Amino acid sequence: MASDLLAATGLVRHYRLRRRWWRAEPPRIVRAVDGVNVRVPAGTTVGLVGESGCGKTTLGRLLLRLEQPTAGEITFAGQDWLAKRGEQLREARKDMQAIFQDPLGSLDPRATVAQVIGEALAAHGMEPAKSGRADKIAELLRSVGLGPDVARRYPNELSGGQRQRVTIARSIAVQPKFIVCDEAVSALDVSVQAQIINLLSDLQDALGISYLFISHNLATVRHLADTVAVMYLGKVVERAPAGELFAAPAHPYTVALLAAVPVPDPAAPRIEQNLSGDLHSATDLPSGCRFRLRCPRAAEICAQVEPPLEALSDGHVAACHFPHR
Amino acid sequence: MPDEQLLSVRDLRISYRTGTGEADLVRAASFDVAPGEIVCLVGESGSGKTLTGRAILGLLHHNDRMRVSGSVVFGGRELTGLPDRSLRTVRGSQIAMIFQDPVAALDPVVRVGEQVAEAMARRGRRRGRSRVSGEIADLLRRVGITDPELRMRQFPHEISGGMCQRIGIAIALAGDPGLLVADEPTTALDVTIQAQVLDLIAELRRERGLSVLLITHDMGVAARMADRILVMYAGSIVEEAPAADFFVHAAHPYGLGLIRAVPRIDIDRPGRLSAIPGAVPEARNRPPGCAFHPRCPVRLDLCAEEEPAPLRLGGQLVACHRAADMLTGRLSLWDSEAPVG
Repeated sequence: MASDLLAATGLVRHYRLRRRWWRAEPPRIVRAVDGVNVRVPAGTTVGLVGESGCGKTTLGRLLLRLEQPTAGEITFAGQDWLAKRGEQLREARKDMQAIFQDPLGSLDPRATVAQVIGEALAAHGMEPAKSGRADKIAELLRSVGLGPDVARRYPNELSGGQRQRVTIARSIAVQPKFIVCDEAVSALDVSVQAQIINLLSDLQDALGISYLFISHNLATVRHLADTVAVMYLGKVVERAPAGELFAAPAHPYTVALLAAVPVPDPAAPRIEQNLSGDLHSATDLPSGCRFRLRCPRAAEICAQVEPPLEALSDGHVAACHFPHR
Repeated sequence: MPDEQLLSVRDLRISYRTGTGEADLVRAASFDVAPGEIVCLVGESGSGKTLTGRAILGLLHHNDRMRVSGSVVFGGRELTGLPDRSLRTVRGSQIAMIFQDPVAALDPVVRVGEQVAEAMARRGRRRGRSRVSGEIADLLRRVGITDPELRMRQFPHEISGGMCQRIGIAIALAGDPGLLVADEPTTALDVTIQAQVLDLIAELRRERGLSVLLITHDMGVAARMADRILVMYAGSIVEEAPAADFFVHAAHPYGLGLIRAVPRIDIDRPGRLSAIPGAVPEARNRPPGCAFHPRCPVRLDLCAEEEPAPLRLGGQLVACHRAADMLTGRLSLWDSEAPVG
């Protein structure tokens, strides 16, 4: 569709584990991302949720071209994103930025905030003339809710929330179209988390940026996302407009994930649907449906046939033989 | 009714000497935990929750920089000032602790079964080898580990984080303690595994009458587990309330702010979250008066001058000059986010 800023089809990323010469069996393969389609319409937020190890971070890294997919196609801003190489890729990366979980780890400890942001601008040839530089940086800092005095400071002098604001300022400095936010608020305290969530949504309104918001926290995703995709062991098992996914989840995994989130209200009704067991290993997947070993609805067919993603209603798809309706 | 309490902490003060003076990390914290009660200690990072938990177990040591004072009475016995030797008999068999990072809490080069056996032996339950291994298997099964005979022979890196936390709980319970101090026990776990571990803790309370001091920053976890809530801010307990009251009408603006800031999964609430502006002050830059006043939307001039004393309002104990107004007048908080600088 023309309105899609980003569209990935059939994305696969397999990691081959090293083969040991004394072992007879063929090398094992980790199916981190195993055939995923993603569409991000311009100016919207797609939420990506799932447990650790489900492949959500790998998917983000594939889109950012920090990893090369084993198979699949990515179209970004109307162009073949995977065909870009070298200088061409470096230039194009301006349009796609990333914000990670640990802001301290993403900032050079020996660079001031002004240097950090200045470097991002310089890397993309957007460095303003020397006279306008301080103004430009102050303006960027203001847009993320920081005062101009922050520019002279080092990351260790800032609080966690301020640091994350700095990484956001750095990302938006080059005027990207798309930002991958990988657990961008997970390490922050709840009060600061709310500040950053508000900031991200303000920036989207003001600048029209699209987000892929990767998180294990379904509540934050509910707050930000227009569309939500749920991943399990390398595959998307359900995707729907946010309102519908939270109101009428169809896949038993989504239902269980939602039920597991504790709500800050002791009087809230509790749905007893705890999943037993852990995420299965991504090296030897069960036959048929990947979720069947933890699924309360598993039947015989689930062991034999892997359920495809099927449309339940407009924009709502789920991969389950027995979806909730 | 102080003698009904299992744990009574009075005037707990933890201070740290810095280059320029002394900073209070925990300031005169007082609270109780009754037998079979789950008390949640909530607050943001840097508020002093973990230090409080560690102080109860006598895990903080006096040295030239750190000073701990106050009284910790457990089961009628004063623990502060006890020599380390006596404290060691208290730890594990009377008070046990579990930690946030379950993998780091275990010894990476010792099989998990042996680690549980060691905990049992330390609590004076040394028996014949085969009986011990039977007991370990029973204990592991009790904390929800399937196939315990196999798991006992594995190393921590071979099992999942959720299972490591169950092992941590098994080790904590090996000495049959009356109180479990759980410091963010589920923060490092996925929500689905978190739900399993929380259910296990609630079950153990029900069955064994275990008391729990649960330290958490997650208001959802607190709402699900707590009988009583303690809110800590910048080293002080600013509100203490039964959970049922707290989540309906928190009386301290900080407590209410924490509840409001949480994105809710069960309510469709489009628009902005009510963030609390600013961040927790560092101990050495503690604001005068009420430590929360620079972030508080309903502060008065008084708040910058005088530290509010705890005030009892119904079942709630609140340290706020505006507590009464908070409860009656429903002051409006954080309709829009103030700028941060």
